[in-house]
Amino acid sequence: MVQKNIIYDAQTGKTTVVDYTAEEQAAYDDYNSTAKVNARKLEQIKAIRLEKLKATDYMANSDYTMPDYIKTWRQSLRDLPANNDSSKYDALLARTNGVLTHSIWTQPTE
Amino acid sequence: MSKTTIPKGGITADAIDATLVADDAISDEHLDVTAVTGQTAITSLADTDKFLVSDASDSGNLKYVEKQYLPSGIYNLIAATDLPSEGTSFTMDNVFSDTYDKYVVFGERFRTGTNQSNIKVVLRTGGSSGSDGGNNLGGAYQGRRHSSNDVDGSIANAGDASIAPNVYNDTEFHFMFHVFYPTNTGVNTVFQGKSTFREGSTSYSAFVDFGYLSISTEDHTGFKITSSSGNFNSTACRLTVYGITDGA
Repeated sequence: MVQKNIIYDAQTGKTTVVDYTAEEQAAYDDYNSTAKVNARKLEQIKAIRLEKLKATDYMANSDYTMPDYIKTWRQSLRDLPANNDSSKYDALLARTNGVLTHSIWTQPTE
Repeated sequence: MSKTTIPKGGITADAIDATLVADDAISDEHLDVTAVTGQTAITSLADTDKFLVSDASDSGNLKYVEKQYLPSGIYNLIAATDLPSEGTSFTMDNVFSDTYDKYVVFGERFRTGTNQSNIKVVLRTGGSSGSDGGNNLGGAYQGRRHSSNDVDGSIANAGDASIAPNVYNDTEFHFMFHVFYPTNTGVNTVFQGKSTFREGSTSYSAFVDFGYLSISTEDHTGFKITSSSGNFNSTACRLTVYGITDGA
């Protein structure tokens, strides 16, 4: 589908609709290519993962013994990109009322 | 023979004309309120229409001032238009001229159909036969989103500049920015402003401040708002542009 540019001329008060130029369309299509969309999704997944890891970093201090279930969870977070191809990205990023719903993001309690 | 005493009813209607009224004799208490409200109303003003004034610098003498000499507001509407149909870009050409050095742009109720769209501004040149400006924009945006995360980015030698970097789909957002010296080729064009939106990767709210400078001698006559993913919804998107004066 060709993207449209709605142009309003303030001097004449007229509006025209023009197709994107080939160059504009190419840039749009490139930004929305599957590869780039998936790359942005993976970037988000990594950003969320970093937040989760940071939240339990204190458990790695020398005066604290990190429970095994936290060690296991942190490792599974680190393995997220390797263990999930792009077909799983939407599920990993799914939210309800802003809250991530995939179980991987929930810090285990034991 | 003149009379010194006139009985009530002794003067017939319209018998007193201007030659018989002493100068400065008609004061406020003798004016009927219909002196104003009884006149024909007009609904627009010409520059030479006149207003009655009491001149404070001249003993309160009555004078008039023409509309063209009245102080105007600071904001002078140049254009306001709704998006008439869905589009990926919304362009306003011929809004910047040598009339003003400073402008303010309001974008209201923008909404994209696709999540995580990057909303950008492109400066335009050429007036009615407008075209996008060159790759000479530099600057940055920075903001915060819930929960306490930074949102930031920057560009150099770019043709477009992000003003809302990651917008959630189907949720209205708004922005505003000032534009400085767009048509003065001796001074770099700058635009800076703020947007608040629902952030695409978290679905929480975010804001960013942004500022960009065009390192060029281009004569910028307009601008374009683009969506990197999905169309702007046509039901409510509105752009308004004001030229700003210093005021009186």
